[in-house]
Amino acid sequence: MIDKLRQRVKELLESKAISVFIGYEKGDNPQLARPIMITSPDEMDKLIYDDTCIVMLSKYLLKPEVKALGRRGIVASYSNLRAITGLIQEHQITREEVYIIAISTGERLPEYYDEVIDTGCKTDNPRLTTQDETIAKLLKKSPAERWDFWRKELEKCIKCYACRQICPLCYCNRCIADKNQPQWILTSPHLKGNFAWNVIRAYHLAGRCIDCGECERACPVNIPLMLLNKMLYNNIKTNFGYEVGFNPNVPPPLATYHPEDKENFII
Amino acid sequence: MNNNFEPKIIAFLCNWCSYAGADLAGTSRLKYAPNIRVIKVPCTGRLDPVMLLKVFETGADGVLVSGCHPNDCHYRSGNFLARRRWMVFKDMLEFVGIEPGRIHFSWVSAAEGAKFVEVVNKVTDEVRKLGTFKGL
Repeated sequence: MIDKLRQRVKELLESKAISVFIGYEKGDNPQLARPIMITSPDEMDKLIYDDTCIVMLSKYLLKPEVKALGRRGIVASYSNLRAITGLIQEHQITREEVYIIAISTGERLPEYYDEVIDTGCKTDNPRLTTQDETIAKLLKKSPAERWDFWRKELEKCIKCYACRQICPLCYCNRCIADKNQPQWILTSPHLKGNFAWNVIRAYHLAGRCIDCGECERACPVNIPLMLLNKMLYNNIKTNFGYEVGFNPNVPPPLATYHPEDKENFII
Repeated sequence: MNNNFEPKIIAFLCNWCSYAGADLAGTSRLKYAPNIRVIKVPCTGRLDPVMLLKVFETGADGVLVSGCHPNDCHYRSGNFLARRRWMVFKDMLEFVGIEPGRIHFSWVSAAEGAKFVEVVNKVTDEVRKLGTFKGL
């Protein structure tokens, strides 16, 4: 499979169909491949694809220095494909400026790719899929107990913003957390600011989070961020029947409305 | 909880309907609970959810957001967009453990002074029952 991928990338680079290819190379950490930007056909033997290829690559499509190189090729797992579809939907990239080699893992792939390669990898990434149970368990508790749970979790936050940096859909040039006039989100690692930051970060991804789980993996203090994200993901799915990352031609659910939206909670 | 507890409630009222509704309640000499602190906003669609968090962060016990009835928005769709946001955001606040009784949304038009009184009294009662917000 990797030979096929290398062969295709080589052809693409040689034919000048793309000027840079975003893929993975072996990193210092044996469990985590490192992203690599390949610009020359001679570098093909660096390229790998296996179960350690977890880091989301789609974020690199937006980097100005990568953008400047010209048309980009990318190897895209299921989550990456959904992220790319989300970025196209939000007009951050156009379909034409990327060449997407999708990695088939047997899941329903978004229709936005140029070719598929079957890797033999069984799953996309070793994602956690147990959030739904935990969410249901939490919802059965009283608000006070839930608050207690989140207080303990969020007190750990050190405001490193790793969750934001790694998120494929967090691309604002100026994040609300960086704005200080007025300072909506307090910067000190105190529960007040931690609460506002983590809630608002998740909320800004409502209907946009593609459920890749990278924020939770990147979190150095292991806050179960995906519980918040997944709760919102399910909420959007129930309320608006919408799942991000499959169709770039519909407006994001919170950027549009329907006159008949439910309003049983409004006095 | 002592019996004299009076909740602090921040009320975000839209400039065009609910604020005028509150005004009408005042000029009509209607009496309502003095627990709300009004903040006028141009439209409910202008409210960033982070503002609702700030309310709790700065020591209030509850929040009321009130705007124009659907199809009456001065900016045509501000309240529709806001409605979707609240729908999701209130569920999220509930999920992180803020009691749903602390967050209220209502439609009050400029002609509904009486409804404004009703809403404020209802909200105040509910928040009073929940007591001080000790979370943050």
